[in-house]
Amino acid sequence: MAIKANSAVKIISISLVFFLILVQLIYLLNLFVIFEKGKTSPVQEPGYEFTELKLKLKDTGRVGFITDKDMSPEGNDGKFLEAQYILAPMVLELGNSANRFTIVDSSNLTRGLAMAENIGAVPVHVTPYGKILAEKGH
Amino acid sequence: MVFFAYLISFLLGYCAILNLLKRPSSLPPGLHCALGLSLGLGISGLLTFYGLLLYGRFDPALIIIENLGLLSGLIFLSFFRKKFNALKSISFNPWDPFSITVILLFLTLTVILSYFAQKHPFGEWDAWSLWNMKLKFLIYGADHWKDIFQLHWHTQPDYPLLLPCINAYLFAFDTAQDLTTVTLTTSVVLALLCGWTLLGGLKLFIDKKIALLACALLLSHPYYIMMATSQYTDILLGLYLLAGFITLKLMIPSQDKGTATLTGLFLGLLAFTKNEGIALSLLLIGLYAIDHFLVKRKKKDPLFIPFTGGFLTTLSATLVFKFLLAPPNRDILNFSSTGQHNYFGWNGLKTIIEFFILETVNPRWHFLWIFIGILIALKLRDYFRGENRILTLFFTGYLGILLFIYLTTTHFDLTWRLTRTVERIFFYLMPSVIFLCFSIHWQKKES
Repeated sequence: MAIKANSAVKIISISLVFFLILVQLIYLLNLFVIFEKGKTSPVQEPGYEFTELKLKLKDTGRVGFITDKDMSPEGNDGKFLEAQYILAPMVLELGNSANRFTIVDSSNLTRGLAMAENIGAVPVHVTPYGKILAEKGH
Repeated sequence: MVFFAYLISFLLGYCAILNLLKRPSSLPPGLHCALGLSLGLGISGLLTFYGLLLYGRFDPALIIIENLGLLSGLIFLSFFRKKFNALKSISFNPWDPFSITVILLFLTLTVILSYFAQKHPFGEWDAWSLWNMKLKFLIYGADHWKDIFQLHWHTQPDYPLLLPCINAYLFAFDTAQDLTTVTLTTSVVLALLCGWTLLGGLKLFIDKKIALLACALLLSHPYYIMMATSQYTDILLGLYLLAGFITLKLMIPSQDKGTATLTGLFLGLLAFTKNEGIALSLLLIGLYAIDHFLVKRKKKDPLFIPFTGGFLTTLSATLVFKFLLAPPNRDILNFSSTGQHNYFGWNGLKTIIEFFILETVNPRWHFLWIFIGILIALKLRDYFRGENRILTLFFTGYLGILLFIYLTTTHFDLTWRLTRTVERIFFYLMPSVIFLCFSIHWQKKES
């Protein structure tokens, strides 16, 4: 009886594994379809909105980064990290406007320009995505 | 050229294992190769890290010379100790149905994984914002690569650097290539390697067909595929934990010193992968010591020196990193005067437990954890027999550690933190859990 019960358990377990693999393959197939239907445009590199600033900031070690957006771990939109990623190995200093260059990432351009003025810097470049590069002592 | 980088790492790991084991033929060739590549990539990553420290900057030529130098030394040692004789006994018939099935499975999965990896070529949030960003510092930072440790705390500057170091090593072989290609390829290789290690490890303890099923279960899992190709370091964490599990399960009954050193080496690499790896490796070692000295009441352990020796060898990088380079961690077990533990209490505990239970039944796992639960319930007693006891208690202990870490959350909203991290914990534990459950449930009588 014990042997029979044991083999029954083994058969059931193996059937379960097969069932799970089957379920997974169906979902995987579904995932293929979702990807093919939904994503036709090429994936953009994180931080592409700041790419232009790379050339402008060539040979700059540290750059300030100021924003009027929520920068809490839970609420930030990732723009600071995106900028840090694309501009690495440059060090971005969040909230520090003491450097020669500061990147201003604001919720709208007018506000961003005012923020640059407030820190005593002059906007030297604005990207098509509204990211401002401001310079002190220009 | 990247192929040569992988080949050198593989040979490094393969020869290291060949020299460590008293009877290298005791390890099946498939598992030897999988563990060889896992260990080799880790060694190459560590050499790159030490290279950066010694030369002060990323120097591709010196990194290649370091690796080739060590490889030459290991090959010479293998010849000198006649270790290559063990290779004569290897027989591999690629035409037997099992081998054909394995080859077809891995070829198909390579295509599938590559397809999905290309759908998110820059990886997901933490991949680009932490690991791939730091990789840029290591490679392009020149003398200023240590600026990593001055970055904003959102970039986790205290996290160990094994994955970026492995990627920097792979980049050293062809500096003209795009960094995205390197990180994307690494994620696919690691995802496959994890499945390969699982297959090789399980074949030691259960029927090879069931082991293949377990491997297929892991590698065909849509969420595993998505997470593994996300370029997170969690796949490396999962791989080294699995390798540590397999070698520990081999080491205890065999009492082989070489296997003990190998286990130690893997656990040391685990610690340099992520902060969680430090907790995982120390917990596993602690449980082994408790089981050996307190439960079995043994006064001496012949494996103690090789085990800790192996561990300290690879842990050295983490020690240098943590004590000499990295800033202190501000998120884990924060007991500073500024830290307020708002969640340390019944409500926090309830939230965490509820979250973990809900994660096990989350549709993204496709019933996997329910299935695992059934397997555990069917042979619950076996999980507390022999060396399985250490591995089972390891998961219980780790859940306890996680619980404590979550309860002492200070800088985040607890629910947000759980949402962002629990799925990844399940992901990196997944290969080891599958290994443990399958190896117990379908255990061969002789093993």
